[in-house]
Amino acid sequence: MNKLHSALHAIARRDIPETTDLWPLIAARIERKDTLSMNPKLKLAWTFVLVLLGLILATTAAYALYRFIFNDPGLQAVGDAGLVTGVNATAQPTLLPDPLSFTQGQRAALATQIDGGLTATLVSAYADAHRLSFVVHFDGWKPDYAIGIPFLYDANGVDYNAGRTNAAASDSDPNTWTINILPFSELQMERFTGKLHVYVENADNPRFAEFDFAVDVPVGKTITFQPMQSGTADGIEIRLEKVEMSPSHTRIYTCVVQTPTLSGKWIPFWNIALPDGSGVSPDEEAEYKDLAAGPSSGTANCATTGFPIGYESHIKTLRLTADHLRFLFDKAIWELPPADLQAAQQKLAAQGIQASYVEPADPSGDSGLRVTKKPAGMDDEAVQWLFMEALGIEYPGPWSFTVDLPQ
Amino acid sequence: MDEQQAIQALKHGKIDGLAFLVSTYQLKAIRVAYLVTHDPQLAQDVVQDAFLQVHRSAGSFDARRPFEPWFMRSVVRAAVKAAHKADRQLPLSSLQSQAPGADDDQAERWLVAQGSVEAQVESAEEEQRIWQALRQLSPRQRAVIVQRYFLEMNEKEMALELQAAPGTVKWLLNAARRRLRSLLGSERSAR
Repeated sequence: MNKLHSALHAIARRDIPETTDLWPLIAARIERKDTLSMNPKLKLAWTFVLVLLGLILATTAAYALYRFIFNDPGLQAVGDAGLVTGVNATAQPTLLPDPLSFTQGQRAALATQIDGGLTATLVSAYADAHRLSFVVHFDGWKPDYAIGIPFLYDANGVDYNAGRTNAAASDSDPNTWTINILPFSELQMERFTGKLHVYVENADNPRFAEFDFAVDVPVGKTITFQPMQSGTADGIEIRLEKVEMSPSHTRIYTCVVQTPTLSGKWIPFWNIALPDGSGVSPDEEAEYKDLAAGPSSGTANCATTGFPIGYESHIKTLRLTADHLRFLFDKAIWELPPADLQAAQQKLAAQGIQASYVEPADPSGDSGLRVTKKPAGMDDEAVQWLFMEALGIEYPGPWSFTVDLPQ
Repeated sequence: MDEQQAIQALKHGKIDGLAFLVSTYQLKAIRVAYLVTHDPQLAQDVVQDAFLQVHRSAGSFDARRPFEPWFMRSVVRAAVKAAHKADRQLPLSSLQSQAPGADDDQAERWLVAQGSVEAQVESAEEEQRIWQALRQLSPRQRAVIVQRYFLEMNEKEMALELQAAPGTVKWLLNAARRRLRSLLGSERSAR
């Protein structure tokens, strides 16, 4: 035990007694905040302001959800093509005795169920090789309810490879939710027969209502082709190896032919543009994919990403642009060698930028990239990419491909 | 109730969770803040505010992460800010007038010490002299001493906290130690 350590502890013990107790003061401050009273006029004014803010926020959130799910061009296209299976069975409130005991021809057995004060109806179901999508309507829904992670089971009751999932309420009807499931590997059967398990939660109860819907839907097939295109930027070649299109969705596979400075996993970040100039967002960041036995390159440095445009959208060409190529590594940026971080900060300083990375330890959100100086008009995201570029873990490209789609 | 249960309760708006965390960590947190601010009341204010911040932002806290390290770091940060704001630093002459005397041998030991100053502390009187000398450091220098010798953080942890290279942390620590030695040496020359 070193002696300075002992001295500090002795001083602290001497001047701050063991009996010190802040709780009454803290509790009182919380209580004061909770019971803060206002005069009626001020309260009315604040209520009006808060309602207005709430409306603005709700509108913004609803628009974001609309953009995210209900403006899904792939789903719209398959809906227009009549490929979505309408279920919407006559409401027969009951629990499902055996979710898989449906007979041939039934789209979903007992598609309306009651649990936890909620009545849930499976309105429609859709499946293609790349995704499954379900619309569920709830009666008795409350604003603080949320859908938990949905589960998908195959006909044998085995947890199917549900992969990524998301759920969002309709902006026009907050009681109606669309649940998307993107399986890890593509569905290769003619029909998907199984069970969708959905549960609802709120702050007090993680699973207060659970529903099982039997599902029997046809699976839309994929079209696969190999554009064999190549693009070079920053001295790095990226090949567009393979495109898989389902009715509502497209998945692309690309490989980095010459690995940049660091050997390891590099993934591109894509922008997808439609012929009319509009764009569509990828499902999420690209995912590293070992295509060692892939179509052409033999390299292991390949990645895949998907986006909601399928062949039912009848689009003739797609413009794919990777405007970032980033190294995937196991460490967080703030765990990189300090000398590397300092060297990068010096490069940024020459561009008028001062920034650092903070360990995400503070619950107040004071973590990640911290920008203290930047040129006018530059946003923090741009600083982030420049920081990674300075670290040598990101290349700006761009790599562009124009893909003619089979009609 | 354990720490994870307390944080979960807090995330669900239950004040019992906060009460548990306060009772568990308040004493250490106040002492940390006191060593940085040198003001017991200010230290208590800092820690109160830190717990209220925990209450406000509990929803965003990852309950899988240990509570104590980040909480103590946030207390140190807040204490440094509070000390700067309160401008608690005393002029050197104040130390010279307040510091109890030290015999020549002791002062000589401080001056000639090539290693750490901690090796020199042997008595309550020495503790008091160190305490007075610490008051002459900047809040940031006091913070690194407290992090290293009270919270027992290693240099890597301090580097993460300070967003600095380990070399920078070494430099900060050495600068704080040199300043301590210099201040303790000045006692001798003042007498």
